[in-house]
Order: sequence, then structure tokens, then C-alpha cells
Amino acid sequence: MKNNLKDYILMNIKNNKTNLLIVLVLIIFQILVIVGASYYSSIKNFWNEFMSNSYEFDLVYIIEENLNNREALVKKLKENPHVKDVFQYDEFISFGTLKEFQDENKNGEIELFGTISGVKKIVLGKDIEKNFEMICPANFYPDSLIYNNNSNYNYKNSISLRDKLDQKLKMNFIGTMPIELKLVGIFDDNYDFSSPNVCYVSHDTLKQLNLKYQKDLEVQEMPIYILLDDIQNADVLLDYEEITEYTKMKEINREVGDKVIRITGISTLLFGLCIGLLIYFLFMRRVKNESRNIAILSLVGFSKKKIKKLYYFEIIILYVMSFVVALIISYFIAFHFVEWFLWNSPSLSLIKVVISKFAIFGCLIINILLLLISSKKSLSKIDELNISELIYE
Amino acid sequence: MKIKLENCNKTYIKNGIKNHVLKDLSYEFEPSTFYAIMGESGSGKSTLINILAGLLKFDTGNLKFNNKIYHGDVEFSKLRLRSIGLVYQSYLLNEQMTAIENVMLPLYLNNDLAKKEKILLSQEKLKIVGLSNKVEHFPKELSGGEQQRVAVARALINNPEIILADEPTGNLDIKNEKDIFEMLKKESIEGKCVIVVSHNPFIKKYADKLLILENGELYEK
Ligand SMILES: Nc1ncnc2c1ncn2[C@@H]1O[C@H](COP(=O)(O)OP(=O)(O)OP(=O)(O)O)[C@@H](O)[C@H]1O
Ligand SMILES: [Mg+2]
Repeated sequence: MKNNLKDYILMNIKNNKTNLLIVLVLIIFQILVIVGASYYSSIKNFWNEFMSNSYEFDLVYIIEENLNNREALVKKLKENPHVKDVFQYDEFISFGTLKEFQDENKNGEIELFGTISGVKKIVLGKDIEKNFEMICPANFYPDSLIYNNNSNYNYKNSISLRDKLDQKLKMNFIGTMPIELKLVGIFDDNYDFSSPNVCYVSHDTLKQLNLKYQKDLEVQEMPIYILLDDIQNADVLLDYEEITEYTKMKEINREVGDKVIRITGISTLLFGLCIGLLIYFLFMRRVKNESRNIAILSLVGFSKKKIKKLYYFEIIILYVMSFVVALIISYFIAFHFVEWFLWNSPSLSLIKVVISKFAIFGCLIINILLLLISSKKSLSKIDELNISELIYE
Repeated sequence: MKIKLENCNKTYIKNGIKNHVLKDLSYEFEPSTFYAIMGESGSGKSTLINILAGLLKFDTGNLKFNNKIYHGDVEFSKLRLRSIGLVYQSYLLNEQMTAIENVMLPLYLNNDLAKKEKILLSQEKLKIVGLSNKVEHFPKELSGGEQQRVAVARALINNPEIILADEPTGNLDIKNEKDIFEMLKKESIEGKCVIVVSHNPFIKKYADKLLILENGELYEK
């Protein structure tokens, strides 16, 4: 832009109160687009990463009613090279209460999962090696109501178990006598899909405890759980004549992501349309209101082409201003996104919302198109102005 | 700069009714001359001025500046910027701009001068029209006569060879009218082609050539 015209444009910007409205609306719109798209892409990354790291996605179970020899099948399955682990219900899940963590927010109840070692990423201490050893998540929150709406869960109140490492924790197993489990390691729950109230022990530990305290467990009627090297290979299970079908333990739930895409997509479209119309009408009104000034420019030697350029530059300046402000605010919102919006969601509070290049790029494209179309259309009114008549008005 | 009109015709059509305002009008305007154009209301004086300024298209005929024909808005805009100063009855100042900013307006398109030089030049022109003490006033803060002086200063800023004025003193008192006419006269003496439309017989005193627009044609008197 020529230096001289800058002064004229800046003066025009300053003199027009409607510009403030345009900048404001553009800022809000761009924040919506940038943060929305960033949240979506963050969710997508989150799920993809979790899926590849979480052993739960490679876990299937089978329920066969007329199984004659359960033990034989388990043994056969264990020999399959695609099978990493086979276990039964009494070796898999149980519940307990860690009384020392009970308070007004948490009931202290945890889920105890049985596992082989090597499935969790240990960040402190070591993995489970012996019976009655336990590993717990880095963002530990012992509360069984964690997925309930009435839970007091807040990711910020999770407990650091650093100080408890290598200590024995007293746990009331299925509401009975306290038993002792030694906390040997803390695993990274940002790395895979873990609930903040789930700790892990060996299969054998769980089996022993259940034998002692839960004698009525009808394991024979429960499923057999199979951990595969990759869920893609699950069909090898159907080669066994005893197995008619299998069920995946966890499948990716894309609902949240789809919802985000739908909401931001639709509101971007609607909002964008409104902004396009707003800019169109505001600038059309301005051309009308400023027609006398346009006539003045014309008679001192500005061509209509040049006058339109002045308005375009004005729009560009307004846009760049709004873009910079929107970007700064978006970064700020993204930084605090979890804190503000997802603080009570045990799984989503682990998401890190980062502004994606894709979001910024998309925002730029949408807005440039929007501005180009709406301003071109409204500024074409300048061509229709009859200068020689305006002079005498 | 010479302006030559050859067989120029202009017809307005409004609601199906034709109004043939300029009829085969031919005339040649010379430099260093003060032309006064008079004529009845509705005779087409403003139409003629706007055609000469390139702000209004005519139907047939030729308009040449130093024997050159100009086409389109871009070419005529350049011509107005460099060679034509315009003054109208209603002053036509930008209300949001101060006197000096209004005078400087054409200079926004001039890339040869530094900003400082532009300000100096504008101040100088405002001084010539007697407004050196009201440089920062907005049009609202100026009297009609003062506003028209700003408009004259703006018309003169690029030292144009042609000055076109359509009833520049229509809203002014006798004292201001005299001042404006004298300023324009001075420009014609310095070599410019000055064409002034006026109802006021008083203009005859300044005119080198008095032209009457009647029945769509120009007559020298
Ligand atoms: N845009 C237009 N559309 C239709 N007719 C027009 C238009 N402009 C001017 N006219 C008509 O053309 C004729 C000449 O108009 P013009 O303004 O040139 O007259 P004038 O000599 O300047 O008059 P005055 O002395 O009152 O200013 C008038 O009859 C006017 O009604
Ligand atoms: Mg007139």
C-alpha cells in the first residue's frame, strides 16, 4: 500500500464506529473456528494415540455356553502367537477401598485390574513383578462415582502417589478385612486410556484374593478374556472350533469428536453466513452514507477503481487486526480449555488442546473467502454511483 | 491546456421524456483566459461543466484536451488529478477532515512528495486563499466563504492548467464573491484556462470572454 493512502484509510477506520462491530464479530467468529477446529483435531489425536497405546483396545472376550473343557481351550489359546494373555473373570476385575484417601469428594473406591506386566508405561518405580504388588496412575483419583454426574471429580484434585511409592497400602477388598498391597510403580495415564481410579495387580494376586474372599464367583459362566498382539488379528480366534464369536472390550467412541465437528461445522457455517451478510450490508450502507465523500474523491482525481481499493485495504486492515486478536485469545482459551470446559470429565480432562495449523489455515481460508465475496458484492455499488448527480445533492 | 468540444450532444431521458440539453455544441477553450458562462436555469451549464470534467458522458461528439481524447474513468481521473481543478457551489468538503486535510486530499495520490512537503504545500495554498489561521478547522467550524476558500485551495493544489467552477459563489455574500472571483482571475492571468458558471452579472467584470448557453449552444457575447 502506498504510504500516503495509509493515512487516509486509517482516518476512515477511525471515523467509522461500525468498524468496531465488524472487528468484534470477526474476532468472535475466528475464535469459534480456531478453537473449535483445534479441539476437534486434539480429540482426534487423543483417541488415535490412546487407541494405539491402550491395551484395552486389543482385548476381546468370548462367552461360550457349552464349553466342555474350559482349561484346555485356555491352554490352546495361550500357545497362539497372536495371543499375549488369556485370563478369566476372577483374574481380571475386582473392587476395593483405600480408606486413607477417603474425603468429602472421594469415596476412596478403586477398581483393581489384573494384568501381565509390560502393558503400562511406568514413569516412577517399577512394573509389577510379584504378587501383591500394585501399580497406580499418575493422576490418581480413587472414587467409584467418577463417571457419574454427581461426582466431585476435578482433574486438578487428583492425588500424587509419589510419597507412597514402595509402601504398603491398606485396602478393603470387597468390603472385607483390610489386605496390604505394595505400591511399586506409577504409570503414565496420559499415555493410554486409563481411568483415574484403576490400579493394576497381577492375575494371580486377584485370583488368590477372590478365592479367599469371593468364593461364590461363578467363573465357569463368565467370559474368557484374550489380549491380542493387535486387534486386527482377532479373527484367528474363529479358527478354534470351540469359539463361535468374540466381542471387543472397547471400541473407539467417536461420538464426542463427531459432535464437536457437527456443532462447530454448523455454527461456523451459520455464523459465517451471518457475518458475510453483515459485512455486505454494513459496507453497502457505508457506500451509501459516504457517497458524498466518494464523489469528492472522484472529483479530485481518484478513480472508482482506486476508491474501491481504499475500502478493500480498510477491510484487510480490519481483518488482520481481528485475526491477530482472535489468534491471541484462541491460544489463551486453548491453554485453559481443559480447566474451563473439561475439568469434570475423567477421560477428556487428559486432552491437551493445542491450536492446530490446520485450524488457523482453515480459519484464514474461510474468512478471506467470506470477506472477498461480501465486500466485492457491496463495493460494486461504488461503480453504480453517479458522481455528477451526487455533486448537486 | 486547450479544451476542444466538437459537435457535442447530450440528451437526458427521464420517464420516457427526452431533453436535448446540448446540441451539436462546438467550442474551443484557450489557456490564459477567464471564461464566464451564463444562461438561464436549466440551459445546461452544469451539464457542460461536468462533461468538461469527465464526470458525465455525452452522447455524440468529441472532447479533446490538447488534441487528445480521453477514455474511461481511470484516464479521466488522472486528468482531473493533474490538470483540472474543480469548484462547486456546495464546496464539497469532507466533513471529517480538517481544512488542511481536505486541501491535501489530491496529494494522497502523489508519490513524488514527502509528507512534510505536502503539508507545507497545503499550508501555502491555504495562505493564498487567506486561511492560514484556520488550517486545523473542520468544515463545520468554518463559514461558507471560508469553506469555499478551502475548496479553491484544494482545486489549486496540483497547479492544474484548467479550473472549472460551477456557481462557486452561489452561496456567498458579495465580499466573499469578489475574493473568489479575484483568486480565479489571478489564476487565468498566470496562464490557466478558467471556466466559471455564474448567474451573477458581476462576473462580467472579470471575464475575458462571456459565453451564453442557450438552446443547447454556446454563444460568445
Ligand atoms: N440527471 C438528469 N436526468 C435528467 N435530466 C437532467 C439531469 N440533470 C439535469 N437534467 C436536466 O437537464 C437540464 C439542464 O440541467 P443543468 O443542471 O445542466 O442546468 P443548469 O444550466 O446548470 O441550471 P441551473 O442554472 O439551475 O443550475 C435541466 O432541464 C435538467 O432538468
Ligand atoms: Mg447548474
